[in-house]
Amino acid sequence: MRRLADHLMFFAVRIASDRRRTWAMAMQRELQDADDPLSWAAGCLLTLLIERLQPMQTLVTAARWFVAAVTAAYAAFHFKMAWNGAMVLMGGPDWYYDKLIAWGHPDQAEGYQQAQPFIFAYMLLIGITHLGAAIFLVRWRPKAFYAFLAVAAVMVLAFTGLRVIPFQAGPLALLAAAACVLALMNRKSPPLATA
Amino acid sequence: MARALNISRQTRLVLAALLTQPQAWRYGYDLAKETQLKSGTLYPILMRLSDQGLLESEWRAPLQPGRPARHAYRLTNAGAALAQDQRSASAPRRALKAQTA
Repeated sequence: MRRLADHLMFFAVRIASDRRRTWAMAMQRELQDADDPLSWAAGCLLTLLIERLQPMQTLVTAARWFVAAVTAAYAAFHFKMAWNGAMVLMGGPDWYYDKLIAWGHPDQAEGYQQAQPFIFAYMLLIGITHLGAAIFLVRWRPKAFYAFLAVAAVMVLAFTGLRVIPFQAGPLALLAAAACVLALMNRKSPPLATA
Repeated sequence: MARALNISRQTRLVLAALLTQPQAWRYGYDLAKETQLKSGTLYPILMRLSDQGLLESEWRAPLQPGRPARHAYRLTNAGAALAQDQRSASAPRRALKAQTA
């Protein structure tokens, strides 16, 4: 047990950043007195590993902004579609309906027209939820981000269930993956004292 | 009104332990035993206290010859002031808890 703890501690000292080298050596020295050396060494290893990962915060922030930009663009697309839908609902021209008629699919055109209010609602809600997710991703408010993500997922599932839209897994999967990765990598220590 | 400081319970424990003998140099393992904190919790707190100028540290020669030096810690004046503030702030809470218990 002691030997394993020594090995862990040796590894911890090796991975310590230059800034934390003294601290790593301090931890290694205290290991000599520890009653439970394995637990002590494991804790030190975790501490120094997390400290080592801190410079990766820049990378994490860049990744967050990238995902947020993609999400915001996706939201903008849905807002545009919602705007088009609103125009159609208010009696504006509907090129897609006209195309369906021209292609000889009057049944599909009829179904499409009946679903117009739902499509408009879907586009608007997806736009809002994705814009919210993008904003809170940039500002990094994880709980709000997860909430918007969950609402977006529920919306997609609900409207897919209603057969308003085909299932759109891509953007949601991107957001969900980003959520998991960012949550894992964002284990930054909070400021000790913020007034 | 000033907002309460965002200090975790574990940090308050460490500050309180260091404040019991503000002038004395304390060692990591002794602090861990006194506060019942694991090394993975204690050292990030000590590092952050040190980074913020609330804790000073130095290598101290051991009492027993032949043993390696130990890294020792004590509060700076700013750290002691913060620890005092925390103790003052938590005293009414403790009294209230005792009353309700």
